[in-house]
Amino acid sequence: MTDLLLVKWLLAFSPIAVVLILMIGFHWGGGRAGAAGWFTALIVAVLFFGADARLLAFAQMKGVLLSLYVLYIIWMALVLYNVVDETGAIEVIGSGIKQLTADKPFQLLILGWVFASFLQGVAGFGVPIAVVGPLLLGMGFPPLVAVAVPAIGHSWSVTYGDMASSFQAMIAVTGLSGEYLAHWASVFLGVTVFMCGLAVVHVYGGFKAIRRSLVAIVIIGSVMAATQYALATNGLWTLAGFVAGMVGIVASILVSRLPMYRNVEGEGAAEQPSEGPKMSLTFALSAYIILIAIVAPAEIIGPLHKFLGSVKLSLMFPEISTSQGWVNAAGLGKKISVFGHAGALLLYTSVLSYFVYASRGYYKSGALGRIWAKTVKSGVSTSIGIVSMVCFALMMSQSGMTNLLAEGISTVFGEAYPLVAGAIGTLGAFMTGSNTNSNVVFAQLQMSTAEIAALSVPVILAAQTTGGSIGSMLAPAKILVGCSTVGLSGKEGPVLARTLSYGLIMTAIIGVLAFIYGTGAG
Amino acid sequence: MQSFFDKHGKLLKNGSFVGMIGIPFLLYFAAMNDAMGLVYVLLGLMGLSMLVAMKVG
Repeated sequence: MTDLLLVKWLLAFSPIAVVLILMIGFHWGGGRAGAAGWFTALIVAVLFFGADARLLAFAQMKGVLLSLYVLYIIWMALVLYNVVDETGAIEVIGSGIKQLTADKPFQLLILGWVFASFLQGVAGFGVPIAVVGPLLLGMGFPPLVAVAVPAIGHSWSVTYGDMASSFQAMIAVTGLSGEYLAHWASVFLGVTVFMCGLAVVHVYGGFKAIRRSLVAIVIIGSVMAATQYALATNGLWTLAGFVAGMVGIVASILVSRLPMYRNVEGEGAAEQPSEGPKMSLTFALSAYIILIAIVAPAEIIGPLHKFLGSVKLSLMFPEISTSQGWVNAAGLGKKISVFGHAGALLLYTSVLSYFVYASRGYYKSGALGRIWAKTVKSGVSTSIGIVSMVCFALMMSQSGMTNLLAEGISTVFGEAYPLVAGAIGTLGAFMTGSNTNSNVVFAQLQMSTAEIAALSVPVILAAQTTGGSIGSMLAPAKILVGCSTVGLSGKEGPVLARTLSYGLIMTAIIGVLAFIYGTGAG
Repeated sequence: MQSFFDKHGKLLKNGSFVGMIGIPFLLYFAAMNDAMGLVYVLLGLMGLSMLVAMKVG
């Protein structure tokens, strides 16, 4: 790379560097750091990448459309959580898990690894962290652990989660068949299942906790990875994440019967809401049972899915280019399905759940006002962070900065490119908060590079989407979601620092696997 | 100055959020209609929203 290109590469990297330094080094919250990243990206895009005001204007609008897609889920997940929490059900659920097993690392595995992955399978962006974080907090885990564990634990299931939207995006942008891509993607994601399980218990109790939980991780991880592989390689990738998580829950219940994880007598006595009528665990879980009952048919039953998705909002964007020749093709921005979106499904769940809990008298007067106030309090800070970050990421991609970053990495690494193929996917997910966006931005580039270098295309693309999946645990946008639900708003930096170490190790391992299996066109 | 931000922090934060979400729609329509003067003004307002977010976000 010439000196001039290196300088330009460093300039393109500067917005990400600013966000990382401010969040990790100075412990700034996501909203403040995102705004600083926005200014950096704006200045670099205009001065060094030839972006004009029109391009910046469209980049902002595309960013807001993408943000609204995400915020729809976040706000509705917050509403659902507050609807449940207002009844005291969160306390009861936490108590129920304690009764299933008193083993703390195993409790983390059940909720932060298995249940969070199931939620990713059915609901997608941010929901696993938003739902599981407060549950862990209610069970007495420290706030930092309560956010970091589901963030890490669910990340293996992102590619095939939410009806495999990320995998479908990769199929769409590469033009390759799902059957061709599914084998290696499932293998790499299968390895990631175990890495996530190990990381979840390590966050809490280090290697001692890993030794104690190894049997559970091996059994449950094997079941989930095998289920995911079997479904994905047989053309059912849309169900792979959802069913793997569901089978994982059943496996967890069976594993909890093993003597080493069985509840210690006297521990985990059922706790009840401090005031009001008593609540059973099953009734406390009503909202989540309703969530499954609504989301599963809405995603799986074709005609219903089509009906709910019949009203979509978006805007048309014209072709626009920078003065340096980077062209953004004309096309629709992010489409938002008003009634079939995961946020809409969460809204239906919240409304039904409210009436179910209210029918048994679990709400005190003024509950609706408190639910709304708590939702707004958490939602605004989170939303500012997400909008600013997505807008700066869009400015980077629309002005060609993101592409230059990826090209620079591939040029520098040459034949060792497979080692960093996963890191490129991770970078994309970190910046946009989405495995899907990472695949949209980088999958084409990864495929072209693999073809030029005579590397195995499906292996490199598997590394891309697995890296993107892992990157979701590092995405500030997701960390913001979790922090907002456990009272850590403005303190996202330490959480990111914790997930970063695990994410980088996992990404490096995927890079090594891609290097081993990717050399020699497949 | 700091006391102003302390006193009106919540209002400024909400205003910043509304600006971040709302201004890009105006930007889009201004850019689609080649109203470049308006685009510059709106980009300035977007920057102002981000500045407020950097302070109180």
